[in-house]
Amino acid sequence: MASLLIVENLTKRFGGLTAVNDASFQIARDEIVGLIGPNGSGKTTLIRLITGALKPDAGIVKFRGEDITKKPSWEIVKKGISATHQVVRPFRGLPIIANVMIGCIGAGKAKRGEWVKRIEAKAQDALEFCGIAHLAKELASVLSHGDLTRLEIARALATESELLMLDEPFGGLNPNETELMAKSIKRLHKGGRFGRLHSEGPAMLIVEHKLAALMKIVDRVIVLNYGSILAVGPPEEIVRDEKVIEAYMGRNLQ
Amino acid sequence: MSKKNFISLVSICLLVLGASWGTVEARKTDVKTIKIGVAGPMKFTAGENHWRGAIMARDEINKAGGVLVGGVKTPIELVKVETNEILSVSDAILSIERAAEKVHFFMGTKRSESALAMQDVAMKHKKIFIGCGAAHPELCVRVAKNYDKFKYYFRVVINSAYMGKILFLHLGDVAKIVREQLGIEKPKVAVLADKLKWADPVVKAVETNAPKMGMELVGVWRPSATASDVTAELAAIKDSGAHIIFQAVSGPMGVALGKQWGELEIPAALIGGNAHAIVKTFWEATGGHGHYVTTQTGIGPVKLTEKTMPFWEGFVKRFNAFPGYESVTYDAVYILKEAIERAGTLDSNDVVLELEKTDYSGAFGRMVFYPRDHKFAHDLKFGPGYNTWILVQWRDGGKLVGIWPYGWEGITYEGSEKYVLPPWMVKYWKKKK
Amino acid sequence: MQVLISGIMIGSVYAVLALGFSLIWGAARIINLAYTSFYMLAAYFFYVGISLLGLNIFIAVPLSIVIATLIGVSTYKFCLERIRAHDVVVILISIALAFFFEECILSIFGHQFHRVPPFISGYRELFGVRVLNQYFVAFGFSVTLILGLWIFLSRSRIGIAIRATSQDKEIVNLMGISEKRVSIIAMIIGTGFVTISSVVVAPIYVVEPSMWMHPIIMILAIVVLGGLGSLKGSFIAAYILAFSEVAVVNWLPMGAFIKSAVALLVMIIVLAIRPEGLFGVVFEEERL
Repeated sequence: MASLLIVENLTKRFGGLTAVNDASFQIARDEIVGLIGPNGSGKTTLIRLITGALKPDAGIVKFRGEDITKKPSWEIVKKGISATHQVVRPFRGLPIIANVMIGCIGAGKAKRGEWVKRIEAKAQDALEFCGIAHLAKELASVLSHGDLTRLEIARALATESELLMLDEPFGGLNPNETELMAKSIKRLHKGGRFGRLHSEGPAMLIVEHKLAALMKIVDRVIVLNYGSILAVGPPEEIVRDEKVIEAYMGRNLQ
Repeated sequence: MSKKNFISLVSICLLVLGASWGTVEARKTDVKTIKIGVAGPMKFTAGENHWRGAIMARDEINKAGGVLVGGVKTPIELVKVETNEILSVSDAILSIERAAEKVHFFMGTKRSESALAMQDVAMKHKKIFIGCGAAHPELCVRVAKNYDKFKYYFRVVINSAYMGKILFLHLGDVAKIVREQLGIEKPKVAVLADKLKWADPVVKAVETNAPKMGMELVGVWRPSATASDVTAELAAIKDSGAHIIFQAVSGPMGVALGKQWGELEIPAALIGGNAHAIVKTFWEATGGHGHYVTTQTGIGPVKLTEKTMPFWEGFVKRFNAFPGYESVTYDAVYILKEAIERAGTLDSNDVVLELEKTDYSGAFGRMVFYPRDHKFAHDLKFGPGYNTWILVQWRDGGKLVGIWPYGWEGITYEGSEKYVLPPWMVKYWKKKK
Repeated sequence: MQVLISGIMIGSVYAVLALGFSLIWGAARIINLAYTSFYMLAAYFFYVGISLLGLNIFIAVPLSIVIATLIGVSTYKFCLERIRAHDVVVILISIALAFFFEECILSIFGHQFHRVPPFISGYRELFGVRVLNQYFVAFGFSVTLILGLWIFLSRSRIGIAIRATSQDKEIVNLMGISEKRVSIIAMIIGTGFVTISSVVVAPIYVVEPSMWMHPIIMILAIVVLGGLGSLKGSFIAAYILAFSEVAVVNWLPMGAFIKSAVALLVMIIVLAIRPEGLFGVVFEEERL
């Protein structure tokens, strides 16, 4: 089976700085892949390149065998790639439920003529899944940081995408919350029905600094350093990799 | 803006400029004609009137061979000078300055602000300038105060001081009709003037004179000259219990006023001056609701002189429009022709002397200029036996009739009728009693 | 009473105009000063249809709305969209466009005044106040449009997308919504608003080439007062300004000339106290 996402020789420069340098990797349909690396190693840039928010200087991105490198980001979302962001940017002036509904609407999963009521119900389920359903009618501007992260995931979830990229899903969460979130992610990946939402169980690419939590849920890890891919492998191999340990300057990866 | 867009924009500008320069050059080459620059806002009714009046005179004179200058019959050539004065005075100065090189004489202009500026330019070039629109007294006060500099200016329109006087005479007449017909001892007057400088003295004059004339002033409403909705003002005026609305309106608001006043059947006579009510399309533009509106003008379907009706009818037939007072250029061209023929030259100084001797019976009435020692030197002489201007009233079916003078100083021009109050107003006040 | 009735009538018309403008600003982020040109164009098309071509009013009205809206949207598509990142250029170009349209109309129709027939002629007395029947029509249309917009924005997919777009364009794109398409839709609705209100109020007013000027000034005042981009703000500000205008005319007749000025003064006072407008959002830091 061909890989869902194929990234080939992707390069992005900002002025003199090469943020992503000749990166190539693949993600299969049934994988959860971790993307780690020291600060400034180009993780977020890489995600933005895949979502089309940034355009690469070289290289191509293929999704389900189709070259999507030059597509506008809204079209890429419609094809089935969604992402959450490290700095959460909700539509502050809209109710939380409407924030999630945008996800349904945007991904084109809401069929023409489908009742807004149904979309709303789906959005409600996505909120339920993330544990913030009780806040549905509030404006997004009232949310705490942890809740914002949840909203972000609910929003991505509502797009019912095939590839979900999460940028620091554990950011700002305490250990308990982190564990809950990790479980949610795992459950989401397995797929199934969440109320009126059908999840096919998206492939995932997760950027995270909390490596301990991350390592428990991923199948594979990609390590970035100065924009280049340093290592790729299962978590247990990566934590023992000399180069990786060196890149993290001796930090204990366990 | 991209570079390409910018370049194309610049080239379009250059093309337009080039084209207009080209036509200017073409005009310069032909001599042997008397060139009169007709200046005005040509896209507006006023400018259109200037131009139409002038070409009617030109066609008649040229058909008869032209103007006799020093034994040679010379045809008249009119040069259209677009002043854009409604929008900006600076445009007007520029176009006059540009045209001054090419023409022998000027006539026209509507707005007083720009007429003053244009007057300066024309005097600098020592060009005779016959004012056919702007009515501010200052234009001729200047001639009286500094004759040597401003002597080239004449005006064939009575100045606004006299216009105001006429309006007050008529206000008195209407108050009398209200007293007699409705039995109201002290009629109430509301003033509705647009917010332009020229109307300030009018408003002040009503404020001081109305009480003296046995009327009560109930309020002054001054909407913007370009307002398109005066229903709020009209409703407030109705509330105030006014019997007479004295309008002093020159802006487009006048059309909305006539229309909404008639449609709402506001029970107060709408009199005074409304610049837009002398346009033939006023009837169509108000959807017929402009009936019973009165306004002031220099010419109407009444016999001011033998020449009035032929001109009126010829104008209506040719342009399907009523001649506004600005088409007095028709008489101005003839007055100029006669002065040139008497002087036998196109030299400005000589023609000025002959113009001062003018006593011409034109389509717009008798034309005599005040002498150079009068406080309004070179202004059109106003008074019984001279020029009086008229007031007109719209009647059902889009008919315009002359209603003033009606017996004033013994003058009633043939074709004039008595002013009538709007019937809904009569009904309203009779019922109220 | 008279203040109340006139205020509500005039306020509703203002509200529709301002809401359309706000909608366009929100979604497309342009200050389109040519906005009321389409108000003028629609009125002229109405005039041409009914007076020159002799069309039935039921054909002339929708036709003029559609044509004027099409012109409005194509103006946006072909002139303004590509430059909309540069606010100042948009303002300059759109004001140039407004004068361009005025010149076009001037050269075709001249500076004549025209009139279009009311849907229902005559007037009616409401609590002793005379109101033109056409004003009731205009009021009915305005209320329908405002309610319709409200339902549309809160209950429809595109409506929600428009609201999201006016909050954050970049994210909307990342959520799979073409912000350009949403802008066009908002443009169609906004321009539709101005053209519809044009044909319903044109019979009250007079059709002439500079008729676009007064409404755009009022719209700007309303939008600034209400807070740029806030629909609720525009709605309320429209009534505030309409009431202050009517109040001046009634209670301060000598100063009726300052009618618009007073409305603008109210705006300035409010802005001095709340620079972001009544319901405006404090501008958030500019992001990439």
